[in-house]
Amino acid sequence: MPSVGATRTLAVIIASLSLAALGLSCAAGTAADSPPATDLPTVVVTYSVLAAVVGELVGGTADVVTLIPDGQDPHDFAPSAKDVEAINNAAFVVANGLHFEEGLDVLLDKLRDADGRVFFVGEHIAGRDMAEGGDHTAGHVAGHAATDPHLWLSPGAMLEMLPALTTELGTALNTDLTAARNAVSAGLTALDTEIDDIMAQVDNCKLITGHDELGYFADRYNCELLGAVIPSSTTTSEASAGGLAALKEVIDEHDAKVVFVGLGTPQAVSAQIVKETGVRLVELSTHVMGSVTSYADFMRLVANQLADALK
Amino acid sequence: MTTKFPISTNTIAKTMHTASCTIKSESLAVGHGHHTIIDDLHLQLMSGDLLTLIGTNGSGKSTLLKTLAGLLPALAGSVSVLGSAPGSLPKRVAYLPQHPVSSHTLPLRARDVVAMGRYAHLGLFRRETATDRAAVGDAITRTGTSNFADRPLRELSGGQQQRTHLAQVLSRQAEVLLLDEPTAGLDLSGKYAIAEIIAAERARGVTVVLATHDLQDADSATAVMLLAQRVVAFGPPSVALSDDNVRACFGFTQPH
Amino acid sequence: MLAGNPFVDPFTSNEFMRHALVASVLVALVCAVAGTYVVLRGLSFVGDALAHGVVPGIATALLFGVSGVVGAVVSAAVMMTGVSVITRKSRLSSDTAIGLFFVGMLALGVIITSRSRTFVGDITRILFGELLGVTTSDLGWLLVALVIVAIIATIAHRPFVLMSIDDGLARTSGFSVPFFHSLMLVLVAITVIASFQSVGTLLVLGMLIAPAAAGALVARRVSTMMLIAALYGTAASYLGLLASYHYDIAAGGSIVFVAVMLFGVTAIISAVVAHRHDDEVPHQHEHHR
Repeated sequence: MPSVGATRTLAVIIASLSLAALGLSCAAGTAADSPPATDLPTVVVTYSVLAAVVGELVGGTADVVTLIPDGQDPHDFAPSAKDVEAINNAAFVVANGLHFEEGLDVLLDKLRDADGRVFFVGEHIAGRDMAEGGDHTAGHVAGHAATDPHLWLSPGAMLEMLPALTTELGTALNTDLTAARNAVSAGLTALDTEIDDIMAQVDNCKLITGHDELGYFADRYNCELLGAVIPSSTTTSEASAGGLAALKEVIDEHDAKVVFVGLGTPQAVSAQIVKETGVRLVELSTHVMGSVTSYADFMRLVANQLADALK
Repeated sequence: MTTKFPISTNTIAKTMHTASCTIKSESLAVGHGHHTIIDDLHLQLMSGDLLTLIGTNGSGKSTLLKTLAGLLPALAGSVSVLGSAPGSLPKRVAYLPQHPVSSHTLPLRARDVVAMGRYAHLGLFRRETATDRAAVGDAITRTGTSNFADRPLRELSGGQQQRTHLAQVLSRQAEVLLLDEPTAGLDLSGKYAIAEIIAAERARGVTVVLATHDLQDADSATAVMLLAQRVVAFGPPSVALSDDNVRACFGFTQPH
Repeated sequence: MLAGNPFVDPFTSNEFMRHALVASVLVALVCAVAGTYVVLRGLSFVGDALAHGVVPGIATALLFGVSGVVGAVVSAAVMMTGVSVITRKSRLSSDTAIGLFFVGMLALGVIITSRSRTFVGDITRILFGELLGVTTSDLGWLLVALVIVAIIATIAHRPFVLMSIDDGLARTSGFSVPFFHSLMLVLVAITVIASFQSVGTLLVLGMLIAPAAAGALVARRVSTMMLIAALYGTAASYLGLLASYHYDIAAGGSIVFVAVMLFGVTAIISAVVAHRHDDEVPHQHEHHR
């Protein structure tokens, strides 16, 4: 009699596990194969805009792979197993740093401690403290004030970090990238002037954005930051009641006509602001490349979106 | 057994042979919190005695049993079981709580449930010995649970589960048995079997306090207590189970 | 790479996958032990409450640069003490008290998080686990947790089993119910904190309950139930990680989903088998000997 019960138990267990394994194996069998390997070393860049710059620098000497798909919010990106594998197997990794890619912080720090093949752009520029401008109550990172991570929105910052990046990348890839660096540098300087001209069309540049993303841009091109829907350096924070009330007052006080929204800005909240203040919402593609392919085109697009709305 | 039982609770019993007195109480009040259900109870039970508590649900019989088991504090007065405070001698006092028929998903065989009755002797760490196994085997045989001893609880009927729980109580081989509705869910043959077991225990010298709402269970008792949120009657069956008392307890009388 | 075996390759070619597997298996084993008693005793709600009640402690700890684990321990202690105080001093059932603390502390956690703008990532990691960043020292701590949990189980097995039938039964067998109840809560707290490493506190309840519940359905002994829980938890860890790798899906969620699915399949099959068994075998009557 005990044997009947035991057999039944065993049967159930085996059946269950087999079913599960069967289901998975059917699926795993049809899983996509990995892309054919090329002979070029791989440089992994965390997000698309930065990848565009790195791509120009590296040219044909390496495969540049963007980790976070364009259009996905890098602020709340969490890596999958394949992403971790890609980072571990890359010849070199270029990241924004300054806690922009929060989900990758731990992983990248570990990799850098292990063999140093990670470059954090944020460590090579004059960072902008979040305590400046606006009414931020900055989150304290073990005693330090938070630094604005949105450095890619200023060609000046890109110029600043270029020398260091070139050196480290060159070493990792065993190539001399000086010529490429000079070309990229010249391009960035020309772009800088171009954007200056575009922004000159605006008499009084006052900006209200989705979150605190235009700090570096505003500093470089003489704009004033009035506030943001989410007064935070990251889209993962929530809009608070107090913050929104303050924003409405600011809109009123400065007679603002436009609020720039983009990736990660809560739509319902923005719609509410429109209803109560009559401002116009303008889409701003600060975190997304979209159909644009070069860094220069990306910056021109952003600048034009701003200028067209404000002039 | 030369014990004197008060007809009403107001008469104080004469203390006799306290050395062999297994359960003793004086002016005992039992209840919950501030609500007293039974007041001023004087008890004296010897080894081999059977006290049957009869009443409907909520009449106070479970409360009295729990107080004797040490699960509820006495609200007033004093009570001692085997000379000590209630609940302080788990090896020598066994309690069977009321078990609603449940569809537990507990992965326990009937045999394992019975064996749990020995935990009072084994404590946390001691391993089972031949004595323990013998006690368990004996309890299983006497309660007629051998047929399904190896089947899990969830596969047993209500009556079978009840027998299993009773076997667990018996396996402890205690000197005092506190049983709350032991015949619940059992058919006539089951009830007869329980009655036999209780008689056998009493013959060994075990003191039994049994709660039931079935008048039939009271025939062979040393004393019967009728409860209805108060003590309606307390004495030998012939006296306590008068028609008047039964009516006061249940609201109707048994057909003769 | 020649003829890749999709069932083995992700682990052979990636150290982080191997670490993730060991971590989630260790957590599955811890959950198998603790989960067995939680399911037997019906403490799932408390388990869930503890899992979320640790959030404000962690948030506060991180705010001050202290290890999140310390914050979690403090949180858990506060919650357990608070619940027992409320249950004893008021007319509220422990159910209500637990619910209040659960929600209250979770809300507190949200408030604290909203003030610290750069810690959302850390909270996310604790809620969802960080299986892909497990270090060897993490594995060491998990092993310690497993040993502690095993010791507690060895000591308290008998009162735990008694208490899953009836608290009064435990008490009249000579065991202190308040003490062993607290010990069981400590067991759950250790499990929750260990889970930071694998599936995260949001989903740890799944690892705690599903494998053990499946075991309860088919086992006839507590030891077998725990064994089945361990087996299912391990299988879920392996299959879940495999799926997470091949389909680019969240590791923690995949593991718990597989665990719950395994339970579901077991429940269905065992019901079907039981039904057919009842039809074939003639009805057993009670015999009086």
